[in-house]
Amino acid sequence: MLEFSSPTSRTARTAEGRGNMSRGGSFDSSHLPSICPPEFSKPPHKRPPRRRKAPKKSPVKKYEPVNVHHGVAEAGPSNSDTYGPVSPRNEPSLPSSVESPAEENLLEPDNRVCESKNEVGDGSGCGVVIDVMTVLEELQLGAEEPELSSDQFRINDQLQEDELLAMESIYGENVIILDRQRGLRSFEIRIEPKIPDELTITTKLPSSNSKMQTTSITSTADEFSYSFRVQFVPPIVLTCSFPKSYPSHKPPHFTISVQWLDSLRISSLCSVLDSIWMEQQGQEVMYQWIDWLQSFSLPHLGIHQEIILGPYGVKHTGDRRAVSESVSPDVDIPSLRRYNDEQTLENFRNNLHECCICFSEYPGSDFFRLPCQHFFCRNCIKTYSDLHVSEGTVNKLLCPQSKCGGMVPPGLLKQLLGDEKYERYESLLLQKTLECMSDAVYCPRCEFVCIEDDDNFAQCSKCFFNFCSLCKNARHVGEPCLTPELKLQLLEMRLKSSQISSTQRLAEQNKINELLSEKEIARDAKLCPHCKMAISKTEGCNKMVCGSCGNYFCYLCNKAITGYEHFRDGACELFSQEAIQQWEAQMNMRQTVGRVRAELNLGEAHSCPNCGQRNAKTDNNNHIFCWACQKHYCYLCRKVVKRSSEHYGPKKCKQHTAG
Amino acid sequence: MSSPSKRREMDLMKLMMSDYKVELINDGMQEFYVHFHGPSDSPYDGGVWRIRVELPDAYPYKSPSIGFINRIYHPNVDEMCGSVCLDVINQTWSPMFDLVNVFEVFLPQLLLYPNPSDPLNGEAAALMMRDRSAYELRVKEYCQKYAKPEDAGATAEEKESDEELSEDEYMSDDEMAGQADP
Repeated sequence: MLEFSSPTSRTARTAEGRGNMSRGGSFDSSHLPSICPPEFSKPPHKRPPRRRKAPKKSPVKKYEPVNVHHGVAEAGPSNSDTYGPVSPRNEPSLPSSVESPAEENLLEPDNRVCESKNEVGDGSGCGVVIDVMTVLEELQLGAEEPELSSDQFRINDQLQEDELLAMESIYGENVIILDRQRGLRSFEIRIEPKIPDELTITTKLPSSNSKMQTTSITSTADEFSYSFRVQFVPPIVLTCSFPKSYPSHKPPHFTISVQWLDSLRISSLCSVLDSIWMEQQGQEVMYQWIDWLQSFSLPHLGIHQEIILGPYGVKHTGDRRAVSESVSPDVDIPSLRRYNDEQTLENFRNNLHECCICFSEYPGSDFFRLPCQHFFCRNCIKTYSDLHVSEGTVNKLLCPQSKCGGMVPPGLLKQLLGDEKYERYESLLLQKTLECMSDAVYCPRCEFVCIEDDDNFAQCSKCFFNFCSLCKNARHVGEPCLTPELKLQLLEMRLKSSQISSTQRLAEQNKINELLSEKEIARDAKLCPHCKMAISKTEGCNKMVCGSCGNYFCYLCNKAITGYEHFRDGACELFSQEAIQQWEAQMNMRQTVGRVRAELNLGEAHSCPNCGQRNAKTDNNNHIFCWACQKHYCYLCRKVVKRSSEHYGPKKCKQHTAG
Repeated sequence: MSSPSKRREMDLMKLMMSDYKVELINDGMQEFYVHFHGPSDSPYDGGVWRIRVELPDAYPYKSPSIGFINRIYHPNVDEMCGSVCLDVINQTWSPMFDLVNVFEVFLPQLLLYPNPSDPLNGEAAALMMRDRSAYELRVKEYCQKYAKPEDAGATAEEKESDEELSEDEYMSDDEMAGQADP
């Protein structure tokens, strides 16, 4: 697709060109035909709909013409001296290979400086250096120029100049004017052919060959093809030079140079251009040529979805205006891929995209792409990184795309976070990684990290302290670690001595306290058989529910259990006597009292009709409240009493009797 | 931050478009209520819950907080106040997730596969580990009692009337027979 910029970005060359057209005497242009044919002022094809271009911030990228070799003499003007002063040659500007400052911030792995294309034009692979300028020169010299009247000459001249201007304005930076010298204007146009959205490029490579002498069996010429998809192909380069008799008599001299076609196919393109000229001789033909090459060249060659590279190794025959830059598969394929990647990147950068986190739109240059190919806008990645670093969750600082888990490259992080935060990130990451390592321990003296060996001993590489990682004391080969009691004793003894400093005293006091608490825990608590959490029972039965993991265990024998069956079998009791008594004491003071009394007056205690427990009759009241089953009964008749007013009375049992 | 408000708008819009009933609390798009139906292949099937969603300032980099207004029996949901254990959401959260994701994927997954290692409702977690069928039964009971469509719809008023009732506890004591003199 041919891209062009709006007329407002026309380069300054136009102004120069105009200014230099000085000739002896003025001339009257009123009799000349209209300068600009209507077609030139309209854009040649429809702009593709959805794409929006961000305003161009970087300077218009200038490039070196593809086919110019520096050492070669320019197409020399041979006979134009007589026609007035020579206009200063228009130097093609060199490529600005330094990217604009706005783009320097980007840190993408596939960010490449746009290389000058000169290397590609070096057709050194096939042994014949085809130099476009030489060909053009040959064409010019070989062509017979008919005699022109000076009027005709001037007309042609003007038309040529106008045509050049028109092309510049339409095709903008895709046109390079090589030489504006009168009579021999030459220029180069990069034409991007219209290709479908996805084009496949295929190379057929013969597999290893029957030319090998070692085996007499010739392998079947198995072709093996390599193909890849591209969205951009290098342009068709049309280099033209206007003879003096264009457009009245002769067509422009031209060469067509394509990187991905062989000379035979290009020759057919050349013949088509010839025929276009033949159809309308005497008129300007550049626009038609360019338009045809852009829209119809590929279909003409039968290329619709796939371009087949090659054939290679075939001698160049056919039209000498056909310049094929196809060299060999191992040169062409990387070069085509590279071009495609660069253009895709450029395209991405220039267009607006929507960030999938914040849904705002930014030009592609404001995005960062991670190695996993997911891209996000600068603000989002920055916020995301800042958040994780300040919260310490550095292990989660991965690609934000759900389920991707791709890494964020440290270089990018450094850029986003700044030096200080990046340091924090690094130290947190180190810390977390060390935590994962099971054999990393910290030196008790200097807190430096060390690796322990199988015997749990380690040596600190910073202070050279050899220590045991279990008890954090000095290394004790052969002897077991100090038990907490011994340690406690040792520490307490040390505390008594007055020779240690106050800070150390404090530290040791703390150590003592810690050991004492551990001792306390060890005395009372039991470890849950599942998660080893220390559990201390304050009240209740012996069926413990671990607060940490939720499993059951027996407090007495410390075994994991599933339910109450463990206690029915007899070995462990569910409630200790102590616990039962405590509960009862809490439940009902009167009960206790009653029970105690019953126990005291054993002789006079009697059994409750309901539950059989022994109750004592106190004072003279015959209405007894059984402390065990909480029922009321009459001492005299030993029957359960529901309503005392009904049971006791003059005719019935007496409520108060002595004895 | 002004640009994330675009993100909030989009998310809210998407949620509403996916046929969830959303009620905004204030216009700041910080909190709102959503009606959520229990996933059909879980014991929570048929229950309707009113869920309060709060988007923190750092949304979407931080996960939203989820709270169940009417009661639900689940190991990772506090039974009294209905808040969902934040860590569980936060651990799997990514800035690419949006609210629709939460209601379509995350909550159903949480209901179907509770995370017993970090329970807010320890009893539910323990029951689930011990006796799955009893747990499911309990869940269904709670659904019947507290997760009817009316509960989710008119929950605000009902809550107040519940509190009044609970004060009245009928205490019956067997009276101790006094020492009645005839």
